[in-house]
Amino acid sequence: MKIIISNISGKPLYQQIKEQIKEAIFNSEIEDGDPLPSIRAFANDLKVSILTIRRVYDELEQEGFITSQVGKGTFVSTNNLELLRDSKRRLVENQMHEMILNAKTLGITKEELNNMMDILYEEDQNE
Amino acid sequence: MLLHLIKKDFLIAKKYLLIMLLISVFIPIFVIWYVPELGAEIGFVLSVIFTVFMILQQVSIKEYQYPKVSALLCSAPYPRKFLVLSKYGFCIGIYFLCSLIYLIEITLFPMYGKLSINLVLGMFLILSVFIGVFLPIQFKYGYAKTKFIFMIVIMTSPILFPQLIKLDKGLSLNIVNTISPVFLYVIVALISISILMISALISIKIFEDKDLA
Amino acid sequence: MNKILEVHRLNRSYGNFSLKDISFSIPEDCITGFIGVNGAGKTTTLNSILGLIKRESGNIKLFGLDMQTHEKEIKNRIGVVFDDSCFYDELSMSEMKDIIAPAYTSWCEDDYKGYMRRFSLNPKQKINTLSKGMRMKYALALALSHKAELLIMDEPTSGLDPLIRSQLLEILTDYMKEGGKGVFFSTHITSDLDKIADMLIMIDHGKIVLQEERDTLLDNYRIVKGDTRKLKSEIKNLFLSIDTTDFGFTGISNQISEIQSHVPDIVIERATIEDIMLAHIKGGE
Repeated sequence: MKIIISNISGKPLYQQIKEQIKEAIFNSEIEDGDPLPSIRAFANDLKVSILTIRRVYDELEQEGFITSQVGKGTFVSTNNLELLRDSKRRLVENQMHEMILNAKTLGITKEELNNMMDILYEEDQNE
Repeated sequence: MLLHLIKKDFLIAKKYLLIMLLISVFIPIFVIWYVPELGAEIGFVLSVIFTVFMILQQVSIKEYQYPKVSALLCSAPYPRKFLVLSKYGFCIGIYFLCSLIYLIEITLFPMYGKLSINLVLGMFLILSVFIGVFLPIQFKYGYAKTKFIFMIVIMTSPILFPQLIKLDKGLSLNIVNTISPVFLYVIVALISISILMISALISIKIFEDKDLA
Repeated sequence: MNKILEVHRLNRSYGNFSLKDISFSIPEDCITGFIGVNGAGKTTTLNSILGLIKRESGNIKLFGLDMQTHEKEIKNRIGVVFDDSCFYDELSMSEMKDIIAPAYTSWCEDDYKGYMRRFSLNPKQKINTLSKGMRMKYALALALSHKAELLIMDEPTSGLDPLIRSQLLEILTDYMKEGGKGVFFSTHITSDLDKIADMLIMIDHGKIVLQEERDTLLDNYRIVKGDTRKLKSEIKNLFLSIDTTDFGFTGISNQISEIQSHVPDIVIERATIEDIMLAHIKGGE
């Protein structure tokens, strides 16, 4: 797993770490049941405070990406991943429904909608 | 714990201690040779006062030089009152050492004098008065302001004490005759101990409120 | 997380300096840095916590116990390192140890020997022959040899070269590995804190100015640079402190997006702890 912290990025440290761990899980770089480093070891290696890693682990656990067992450590957990992916897909679908409804009301065609989508997608990618 | 603190004072005065104990060996001998009419008892009295005060001064100098040690000791679980009591214990310890030396001397040279209960208790009383008055003053004002007291005691004791003993010899004859000796000994011992206890309580109160840093 | 040290409304005056309503708490498992410039009140605060100077008001709790009523128990569980000269220099390290060790019920001679070996210190050596760095290591050996759960240190790295400082930081990191411990150290050398602090508490002119996780501080504050001409007075208020020259302004702020909305043309950089500390001090003036 590669975690590179950027000093130039405006993003908070804990967010950078969290996102890179999520990416590693999504890319199957680390898999269900794989152990994650202990909070202290991780903090030392990344040169961040243990409070930051603790927050990362807490939030990842809340979001269902990892589980921690007292005495055993922290492990990747993709059990909820599918459910998570599904619920997130559903969220996007709902947003799309709303968007399409609005577009139809305003008389925006499917083609225009697709174009707008392309432009906006590119813009967001660059941010 | 208290013993360790007393040991500490002996440790820091280590080098000086040896010299002073040697001096306390020679004072009685000196007295006997040059002024035998006063008796070796004077030698004993002088050697105790001298030794206690000079070693106490040496310890006080060291503590003045390294004031943060008290801070370190008090940030450790040593209660402040033990730091106070250890000073008293230290002085009494030196008294015992001097008594031991004197005892050895008169055992080797019995004609020079004897270590009577009178002398031991009388000396203890004198010592109690001295340190009972002096130690609270030093705890309150620190070494720098009180070092002149050391000088005064050390300088004037060779002169004062012979006078005092003469007076005392005159007084004690009357008092001793009217009260039974054992009773007298107990009273003197109790007075000494009370003086020390009251003095210690005062010193403890002073030291509890002192800023150590 | 448990709070290993809690200070509540500590007050103490000394002539023309005073500690005013100092309140802060330190969680366990954290290394907390206590920063401030010389004379800000760090040592006075530490001395008050340790009971070396009497406080006028306020209370102090360590390990959840009140210092007033559980002083001996608390002191058994803390290790203390002062910045210098708290030993009788003419004694050997071993003699000094024999003075300190009996105070602690959990003194562990094996731990002591281990640390002395690790720091390459010869116990028979006299303290006045040691360099400053060796003396600090010795003080640390004493502080770490009685199973202390909290290490309190007053400017442990001042006057030490970078190598020894980094060794000290390594020792502290090792100490924290077991968990359930804490370190609280005062310093004005902020670069050390950049490296190991988890939590920062800053004091200035006798008052606590901030209390924050180090990474949050580093995430929220930024150095902002831009054109002085674009600097209006409402924007100046968004800065903690700001320096202007003919060629531009440099300031520290935690309201970057606000500033950006007024002055889109700015350069943003991450700040160091020192930058943030100085900005707080300057801003306070």
